[in-house]
Amino acid sequence: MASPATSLHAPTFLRWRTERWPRTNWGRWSVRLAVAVPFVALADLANTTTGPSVANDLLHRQAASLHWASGQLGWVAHAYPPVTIAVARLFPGGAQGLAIAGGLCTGILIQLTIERLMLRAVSVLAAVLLTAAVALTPAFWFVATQDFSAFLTLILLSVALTGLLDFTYNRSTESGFIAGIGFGLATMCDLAALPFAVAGALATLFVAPQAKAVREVARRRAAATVVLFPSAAALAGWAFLQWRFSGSWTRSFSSTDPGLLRFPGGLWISLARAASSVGHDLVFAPVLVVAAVVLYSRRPSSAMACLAFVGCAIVDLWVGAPLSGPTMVVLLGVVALALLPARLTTSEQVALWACVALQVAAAFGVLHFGLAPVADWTHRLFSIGPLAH
Amino acid sequence: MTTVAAPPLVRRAEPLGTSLIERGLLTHAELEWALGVQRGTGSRLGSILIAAGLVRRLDVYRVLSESWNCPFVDLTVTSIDRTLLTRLDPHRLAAELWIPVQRLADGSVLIATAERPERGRAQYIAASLGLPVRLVATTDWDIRRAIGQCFAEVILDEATLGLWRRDEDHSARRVLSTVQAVVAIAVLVLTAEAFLLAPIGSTVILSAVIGVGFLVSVSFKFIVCMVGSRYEYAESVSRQEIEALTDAELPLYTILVPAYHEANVVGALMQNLSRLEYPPDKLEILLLLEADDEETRQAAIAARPPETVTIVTVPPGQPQTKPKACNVGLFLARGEFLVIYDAEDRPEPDQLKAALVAFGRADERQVCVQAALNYFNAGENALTKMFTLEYSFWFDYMLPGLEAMRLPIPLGGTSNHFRTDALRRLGGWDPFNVTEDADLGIRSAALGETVGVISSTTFEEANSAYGNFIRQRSRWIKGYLQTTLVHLRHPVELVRSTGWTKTLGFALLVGGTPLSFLLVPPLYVLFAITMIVGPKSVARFFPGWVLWVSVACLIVGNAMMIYVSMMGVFKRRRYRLVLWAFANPLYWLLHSVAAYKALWQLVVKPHYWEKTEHGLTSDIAARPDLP
Repeated sequence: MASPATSLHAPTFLRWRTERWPRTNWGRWSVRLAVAVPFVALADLANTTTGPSVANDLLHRQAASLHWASGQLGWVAHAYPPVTIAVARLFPGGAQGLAIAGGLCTGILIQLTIERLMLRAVSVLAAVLLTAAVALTPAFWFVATQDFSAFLTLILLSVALTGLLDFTYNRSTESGFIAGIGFGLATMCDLAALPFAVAGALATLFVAPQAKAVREVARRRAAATVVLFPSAAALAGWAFLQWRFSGSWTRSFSSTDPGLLRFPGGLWISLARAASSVGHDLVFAPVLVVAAVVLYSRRPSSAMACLAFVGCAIVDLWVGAPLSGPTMVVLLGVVALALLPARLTTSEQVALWACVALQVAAAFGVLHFGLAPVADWTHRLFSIGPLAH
Repeated sequence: MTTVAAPPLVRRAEPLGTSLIERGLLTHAELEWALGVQRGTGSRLGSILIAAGLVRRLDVYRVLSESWNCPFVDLTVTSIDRTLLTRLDPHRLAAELWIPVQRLADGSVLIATAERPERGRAQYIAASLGLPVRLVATTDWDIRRAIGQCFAEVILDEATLGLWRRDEDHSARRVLSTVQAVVAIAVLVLTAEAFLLAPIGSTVILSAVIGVGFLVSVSFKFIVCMVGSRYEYAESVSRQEIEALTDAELPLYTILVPAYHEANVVGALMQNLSRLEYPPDKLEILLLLEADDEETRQAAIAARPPETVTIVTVPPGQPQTKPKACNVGLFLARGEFLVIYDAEDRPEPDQLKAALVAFGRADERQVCVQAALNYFNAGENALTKMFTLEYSFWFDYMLPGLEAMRLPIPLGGTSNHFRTDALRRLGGWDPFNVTEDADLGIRSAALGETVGVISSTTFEEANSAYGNFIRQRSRWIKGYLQTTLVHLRHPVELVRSTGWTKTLGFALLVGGTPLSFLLVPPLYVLFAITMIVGPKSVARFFPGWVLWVSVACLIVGNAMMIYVSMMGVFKRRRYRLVLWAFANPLYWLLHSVAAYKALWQLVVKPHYWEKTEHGLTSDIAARPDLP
């Protein structure tokens, strides 16, 4: 029998696919486009004032350097991550084009986040404010317009997480597809997504409605398989292709993440450093802490999801395939909103809004301390560009 | 002027129930029960008593004939003057339940009727014949049997060549149209010439086409499955809707069960059909047996079928196929709705009602609803497990996806529910097409009709023997090839009548499925080459990008098929089968063997029906509700 906490989630995520906000396709795309316009403008502004971003420029150069139709096959070793490279190859405009693409993608992420919150009986105003606490921050602007690869990974992880929750609690196989494919594509955008896929698969083992029957064990094992399969298959397939065509199983991974499996200073020291660094990033995501506490008070095993995400971030950093600091901060903020439970008590709401205020303050605080790339970029944008005093 | 012989005087008769009790054929309690049923269903008392097995059909009609004050004639021992039938339509006779028997000395014609011989009826029949008539009573079963025997040639001709006569282009009797034959020869010649003149270039192009073709075909299935998965919670028919149906509003439903050499399962069939939640007096079950299949006939008789079951002998003649047998059944069917089950099928009990709800909700253009199929012996061996993986995604994702995208749905082999009239209008099944069901689904779309799906499931026996599997699959794949060729005879017309999307959907699904099976071996060979000798050694014939594209397509395509198979069985809650999805690439190799056999047979034996043997399972006790 499902625990009482199950009923808390069941109607919420189940409705995710049946009740959309806005209801029509036209409505949804209009919202996405409307939301994306300021970010596209920001991307354009950043392109003209601060010049093309380093990350986007690198991605564009990497994509442009591949001659896949030639007789030579060594290019396979330089074609990871294939999804973002394919987009970079197809989307016109080079690094500037990628910044615009990132701006356009913000519409999708923001609309989906608001939709999820509204389906948890959060009012439009509250949903918009909560989402704004993540989206109207320099770190979000920076990632969206300056690092297309990281932003795409972030969107895919967010979509995968929502699918995972619905799949785990309600056994919706459509959401299972979405979770699995989301994690799989994210892994093909950034190796850092792999631990998240593994954590997602493990979550289906531990966070699912409780039952000790043999059949339930088989179900959990099967659920973990379907969540993990796309990521594992994508990675294994890619590794095979690069081995057969370039002679190395890992070259493309290590060329993207040069510190992969290096563990500077030894295993334990690098782990401690990673944990400390992610702990520092948590300062920028107090909403996640509230979400974890509220989840823990209702159903301790569900809080595992929050911890799992933090754990994944640590693992990424530890093994040498880290998400950048700004990406990590934005991801933690988005994850917090995805995991926020429905029907908060008054005291929980007070704590939430206090943390939202704190998060916004911390987000703008980065301009003066921490997250150096964001601070640097923002200062340049505001001091050189037309917004300069 | 037509004269009418004096019809028998119909006295004010004793009610049937009272007469049966007086003769000791029925008890008061049984009559009370039957009258209770009658109040619920509105059916005739006689039909209820016969269907329930309380009184023999013969006894009911004998008593009726007495109350009608009309002699009774046993048509099983009475010869029929066939010259009287020459200008009569057997459909009409079967529907109106009368048949001329013989000429009498006074010039009138003796007519056997299973309906009350009232004056109006006599006048109507006399007018139809242009001769005076004298009515005698018989059973409805006698009349249908007599029609089947006397019109055997007509029925056979209609069942075999009816569609071909009405619409030659929709029949697979001819494998290729003239234009198709010319195009096929031209393509073969040009390909051969290309390989002679530029062998390397041709190999490169062909390899790339094979790789991309495989990926396109598999991607199409994957996308349709993703769309289909959206509807897993959208119950096509709810329990409440089914319970809201009253027995009185249920129409007569015909169940066709074609069987051939299936003596071992025909007994179980009776048991499975008896579980259907439908008033027995509103069921007409036609067990369609071939004339040379004495073994199944004897087994069916030994199973003591209820009175709702009629054993129909399919007249002998070529092609000896299931669709021909079904056409004979369609010829005789009286039900407003009709469904096909295989002999070993175990439909969910409320399936007929679920289909009626679905029909009631749809518009008149919906000619068919397809129930899901799955297997009761999934755990028997590796093959039955793989079969279950495949059917789970096909019926639970693929067909709902096709329906949602408004694409043509190739029907599955059984559990297709039809509006009988609409099926007749469509021309019935094509006896020359060995996947007559898939063809019918596509023909419906081509003629502007629609097919829907319901979530009710019929559990079947999965094929557990490899040889049997290859035979069955080669027939299915050959049928898909036939269907593709039939419906692409006039591609422009097809696009005009159904639109680009449906045409493309049909081409990718019905044409793409056999194609992807045929393409698997060359891709595996390329894969093996890259594994064994390395890409550089074959770079002359397969430049890097060709190998890269082919191997990538193979990996991505297989991963997609593994994933939908996993999700399909997960949805069916057969969790232990999820890991078996990894065996899908090997399962596809089996399909490839079947596909090449099918291609060969399409050339040498296009209409040959590879019979699937049923009743092989040792998992007799398998219960579908406990996977």
